[in-house]
Amino acid sequence: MTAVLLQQVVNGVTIGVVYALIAVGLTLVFGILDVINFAHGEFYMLGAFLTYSLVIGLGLDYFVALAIALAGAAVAGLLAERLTVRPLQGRHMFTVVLSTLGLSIFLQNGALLLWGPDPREIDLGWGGQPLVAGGLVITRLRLTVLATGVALIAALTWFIRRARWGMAMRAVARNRDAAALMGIPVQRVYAFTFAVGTGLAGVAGGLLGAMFTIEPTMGEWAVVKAFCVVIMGGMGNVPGAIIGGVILGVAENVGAGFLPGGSSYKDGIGYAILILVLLCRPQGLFGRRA
Amino acid sequence: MAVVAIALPLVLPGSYHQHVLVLAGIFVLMALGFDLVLGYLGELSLGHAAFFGIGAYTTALLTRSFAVPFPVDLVLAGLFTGVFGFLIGGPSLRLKGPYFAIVTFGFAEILRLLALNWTSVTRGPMGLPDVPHAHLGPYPINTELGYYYVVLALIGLAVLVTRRLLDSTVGHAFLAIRENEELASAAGIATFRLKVVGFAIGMVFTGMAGSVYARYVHFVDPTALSFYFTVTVVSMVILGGQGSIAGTILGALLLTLLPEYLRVAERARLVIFGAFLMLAIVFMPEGLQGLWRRFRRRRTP
Repeated sequence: MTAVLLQQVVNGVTIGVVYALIAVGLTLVFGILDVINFAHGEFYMLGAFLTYSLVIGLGLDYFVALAIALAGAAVAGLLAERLTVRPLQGRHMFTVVLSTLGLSIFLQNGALLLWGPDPREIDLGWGGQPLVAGGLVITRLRLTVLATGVALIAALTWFIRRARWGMAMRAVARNRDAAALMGIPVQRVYAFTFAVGTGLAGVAGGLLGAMFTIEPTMGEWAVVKAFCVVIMGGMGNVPGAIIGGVILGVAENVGAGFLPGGSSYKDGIGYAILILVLLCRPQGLFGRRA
Repeated sequence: MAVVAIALPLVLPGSYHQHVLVLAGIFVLMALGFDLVLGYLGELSLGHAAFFGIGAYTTALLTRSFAVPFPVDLVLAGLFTGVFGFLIGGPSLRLKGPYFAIVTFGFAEILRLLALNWTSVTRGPMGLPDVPHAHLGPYPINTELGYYYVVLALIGLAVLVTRRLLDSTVGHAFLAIRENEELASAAGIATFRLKVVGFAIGMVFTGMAGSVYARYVHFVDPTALSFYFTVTVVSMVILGGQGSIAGTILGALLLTLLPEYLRVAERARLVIFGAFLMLAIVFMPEGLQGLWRRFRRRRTP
């Protein structure tokens, strides 16, 4: 019993770290640009398909492909920010919701047109090899996903705390006008933040894409998970999103294992947490009431 | 306007165009319910499709299992959806802005999962087929034209109710809430209670739209609650111009007709649709309504 539970926790943490990667981008964009990016999941999808094309089509190494997926999704994010977010600055929040929804429909159906609706697999060959440690089994791929995810999150945390651009991001989040007066190029910080967010979503796509199958509609799933996590952690709260992602991953995996009929309501666990948190603690689990 | 609406299907040739008009009408009704929340209460609900689905499932279940006759199931579907509006709007409306948008989205997804998994009642993804046609007394409503006039009558009713509401003290209170909720509250307006009432009324229209839809297509399945419907309605209202009955109707017509007639583009249809939405909002963020106002301002110096 405890061994099964522990196994499910390990599996949950692996997925949860990827949830965190997706959600961090969404929460950064909300915290700094005040924008809910409904197309966020599409960059996750783009990252997955980019990884697929590079690994299966060109035979590149998985890690090289992941790096290119990160860069590719970031560049796509720069374009998206320029086209759908910046022109609507200063307008009501609803207008940006609609422009990003339009972008999401455009990208998703564009992918459907390009790659067709059939699910594809990023078969790495070495992914399924099991590693056993103290009664726990983890495949080599899952371990890779976990390690890459943790490394990226650590790098991001360092970046936001210590790097020059990271500090600029925090300054703009705190007070945009004051930051602008201090000579911080606010527009460029906006674009940069958006690109960081979509880039991380792209890598997340490459990571989870290798564990499951990939298809053009996968972005919907990702954006929904990211919403749950962002709300759980408090909107705009980066550490909250990281912890929230892991909590959601674990709750889903443990819940699916132990609830009656659990796996069919697996996705419902996220929504239930979302609604409970919003109704009881709308500032997020770790936020302080403003 | 009313005359044009009544005569329109008679001049259009063929039942396909009439079919598109019925769909447009159902969307207009749904969009009017949505605009009551967005345009007059100032809150963006992302769970709108769930209420449409509740209305549709209510009618499907009532008519299939209990043979409830036509206007009764419509009224019951509207009321039942309104009750759900209270139940979901109540707790959700304590939140504002992005939080409200996301909590309504969460509620809607939970209801969709319920429709998908509560197979003993909803038959899950197989849906509920053979919803019978409506009968008005001895006369069956079984043509596109018949449904068109049913929907038109309901739209007329919704517009009337919305107008009366907005002209009443309640309506003035709505606008005060939208413009500045703190100030409205300080002026003695029971802001929260009024918002819940407004939300529930909007959901009654939406449930009725779902009810007619179930009758018209004879079939309901969980896709009636899908986020795609919500996106469509949000687009209609924001593109038409929120807080305007004419704008909402225009937006709903445009966005039903566009994807329908884009069917010639086949697989690229939704790609074009997405690009259109994106560009439309970037180039006219105040919707058709705003464009019209700008046009008029330029003409009258």
